[in-house]
Amino acid sequence: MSEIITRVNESVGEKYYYTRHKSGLDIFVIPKKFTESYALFSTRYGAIDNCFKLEGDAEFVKVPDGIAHYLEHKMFENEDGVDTFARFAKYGADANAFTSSEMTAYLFSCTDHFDENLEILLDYVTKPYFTPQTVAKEQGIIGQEIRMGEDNPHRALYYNLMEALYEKHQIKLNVAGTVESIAEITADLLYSCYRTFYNLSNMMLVVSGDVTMEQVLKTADKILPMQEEKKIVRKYEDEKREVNKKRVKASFPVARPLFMIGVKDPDIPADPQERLKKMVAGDMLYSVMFGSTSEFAIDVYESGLVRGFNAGYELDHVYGMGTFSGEADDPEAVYAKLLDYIAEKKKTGLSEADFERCKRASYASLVREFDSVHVANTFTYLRHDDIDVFDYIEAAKNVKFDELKPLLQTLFDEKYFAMSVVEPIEK
Amino acid sequence: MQLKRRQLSEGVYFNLIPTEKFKAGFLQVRFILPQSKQTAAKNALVFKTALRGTEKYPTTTAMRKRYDELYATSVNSNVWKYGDMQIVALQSSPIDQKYVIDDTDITAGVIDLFEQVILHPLTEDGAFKAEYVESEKKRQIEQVRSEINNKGKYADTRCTEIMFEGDPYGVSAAGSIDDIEAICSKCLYEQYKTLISSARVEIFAVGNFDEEKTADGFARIFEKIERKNICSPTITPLSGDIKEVKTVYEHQSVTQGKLVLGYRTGCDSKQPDYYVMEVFNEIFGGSACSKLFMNVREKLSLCYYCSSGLIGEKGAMLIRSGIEFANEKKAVDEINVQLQKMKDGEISDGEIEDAKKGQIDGLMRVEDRLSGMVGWYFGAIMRGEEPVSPEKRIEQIKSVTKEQIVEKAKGVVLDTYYFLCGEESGK
Repeated sequence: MSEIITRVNESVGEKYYYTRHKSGLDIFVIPKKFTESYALFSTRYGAIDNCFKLEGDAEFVKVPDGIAHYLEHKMFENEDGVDTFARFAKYGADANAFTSSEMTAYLFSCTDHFDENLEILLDYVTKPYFTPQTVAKEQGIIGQEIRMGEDNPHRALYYNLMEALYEKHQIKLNVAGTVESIAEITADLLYSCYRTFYNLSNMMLVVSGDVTMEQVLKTADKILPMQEEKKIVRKYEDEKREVNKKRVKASFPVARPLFMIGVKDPDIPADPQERLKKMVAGDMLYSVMFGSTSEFAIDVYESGLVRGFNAGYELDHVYGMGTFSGEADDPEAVYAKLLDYIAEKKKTGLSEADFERCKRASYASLVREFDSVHVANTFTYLRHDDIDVFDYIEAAKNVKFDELKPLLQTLFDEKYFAMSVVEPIEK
Repeated sequence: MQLKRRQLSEGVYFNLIPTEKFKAGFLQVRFILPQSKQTAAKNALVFKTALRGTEKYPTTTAMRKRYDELYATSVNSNVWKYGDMQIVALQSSPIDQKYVIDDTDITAGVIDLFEQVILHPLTEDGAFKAEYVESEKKRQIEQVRSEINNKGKYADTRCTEIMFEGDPYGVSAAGSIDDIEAICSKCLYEQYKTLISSARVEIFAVGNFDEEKTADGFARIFEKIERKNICSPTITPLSGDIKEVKTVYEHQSVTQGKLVLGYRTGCDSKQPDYYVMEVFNEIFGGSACSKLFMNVREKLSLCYYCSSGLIGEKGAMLIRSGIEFANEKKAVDEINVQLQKMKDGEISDGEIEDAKKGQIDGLMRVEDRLSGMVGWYFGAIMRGEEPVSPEKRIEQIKSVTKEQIVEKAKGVVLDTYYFLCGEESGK
């Protein structure tokens, strides 16, 4: 049996257990004294993975957009005809799944019968079953899910920004695909994606709740097949450093224009520890400059220039970007004001007192994250990026004021900026 | 889970729910008033304005810096409807003292913030500061206008307005645009005085709080207010009869139609066997195993979502679905078929068992969420009942029979038919 490793973090008073199961699956258990237990079974496979091969294969396979999400839907059907939701319902669990650009996850939470529910989760996700008929049936349901998205101005705002920032990279793709692209999906293509990306060595199970590792391993031993590790080669489109378009606009029946300004960060550290440092310092820089207590956020709030102003920085092994969003009558004025403010800060520098205050607030927010079993989500996102959640907490606690200074000079180059605007339809 | 309740002054109650499970607690002051068109907009704006500045923290900057000093513990204001009552709340989630790394007293700091907002909002010439009132009015109007951006929610609101025309529940908790525009700083200040002196006040403290210190802190705030004409909450549910179905088609530039059907159930949450209604709803359209989900979505592939939800206080139910315009009749026919099955008792034992498990699972989770515990006790307080424990309710749910469910189903009648569709389609 594999060794079980315990990791403890004193700052937040939490711990977790880790082991690599003999099937090749990484398993993590975060003990929490809640009535609710939660399990998230995920694969490093999302909308961006539309061109791939296994190591040793000659040719790359190119699949239709939206297939990872389509596959997620189809995993809920079983060979015996019993719907997966119905199986969970027998044990009172609340089950769901989601697909993002970089991962697909299957989950349940329950207050009783954890072992039985975990057994169902591990079972249905490791046993695909599709036929041409069941694949065709899903066209209508996902078609309506896509239509619902088409009426959502915030979704258009986001994807148009991605279109503005990225010329070719798959990160810009709509996770659900289009009505046209999903029409090309077949049972064979689904199987091919499944066999590549649902190999247990490409997956992870994170459990949080009043559950022990021994309990989880018992179920894993019973259900999980032994698998050979597969090396997946993913092909992402080369992306230029500069933005694709400076502006992308759309019209929707909205009350007031919505804007989302993005700034591309093309410098992504390949080493996870370096990336973590940059992630944390970048995040802190955004808090100091654009967080709720910043001059900029307070100015646009008090003047009424922007409603619901939000800013943030994200970085993982695939892409890096900062975003600024809200509602404004004059998005161009916000854009200009933002660039002026950044230029001013580059000259005058940041206040160390502001930095210390933001750091304390950020530490408190991290402590609060652990108040729910859903901390397994954050845990998983970071892990798929080869970052440990406790390393993240320590990095956030130890970030130094001086680490922000170089980023202030490099993260906000005007040539990396673009804006997406959703305007009201002219009456 | 235990409730320690005491009266602090006339119509002011302090409710402590002790728990050590969380890293951040929850403090909430609920002001309860009759929901009416004359006062809804003003009540919604009172604390939003007061939070802009108080005597001790006169600016947004001062206020937000104070939040950061208290470890990212902000105070915010929320407003919603509860049956015929409007609830205006001030709330905060202070971090547990044990995660504080200096000598900051979090509870005392947060109660002081509550006191500032409730007793010492910034004034000029016997009214709220005009600048703050005007900018909060503008923000509130923008928020109301933005409701149109989310089509699903918009359709819900419209159906509710039509169904509850002339009833307090048909009034928007945020107020109408005209009513918000008409507010002046003087009349808002008058309403503020009425609100703090006459509202029924329910204070909740959930978490690891010192009982005496916390209760005393709030008592000191309310002893400074001259309490008079105190509101006693009353809610009148809809009768079970209707004269004719109200039908409304609304046209907008949307790609997916939003169908919302409003029903009277003849059973409101004051009735001793209301939990039967909840089991009914779970089977009919409350889960991913429900009749609506399994048939309208899974069998006919007409939609991504089709669900039902109860408005317990008013004895009402809404069914919602997003569909192609052309599929309106197909979807409605299937909804009617499924409702008829409920009335005819075409319900399997498995469906009943699964629905009970789903309900029980939800009840077991009440204690895992700070706001969940508040919601649990608040309902009982508003109904003037001795609160039952979730365990007791679980026993009641287990005892529900098919005959009881069918009897409740028979009381469900269509009241309002609302369809949000494209410019060219529909009637």
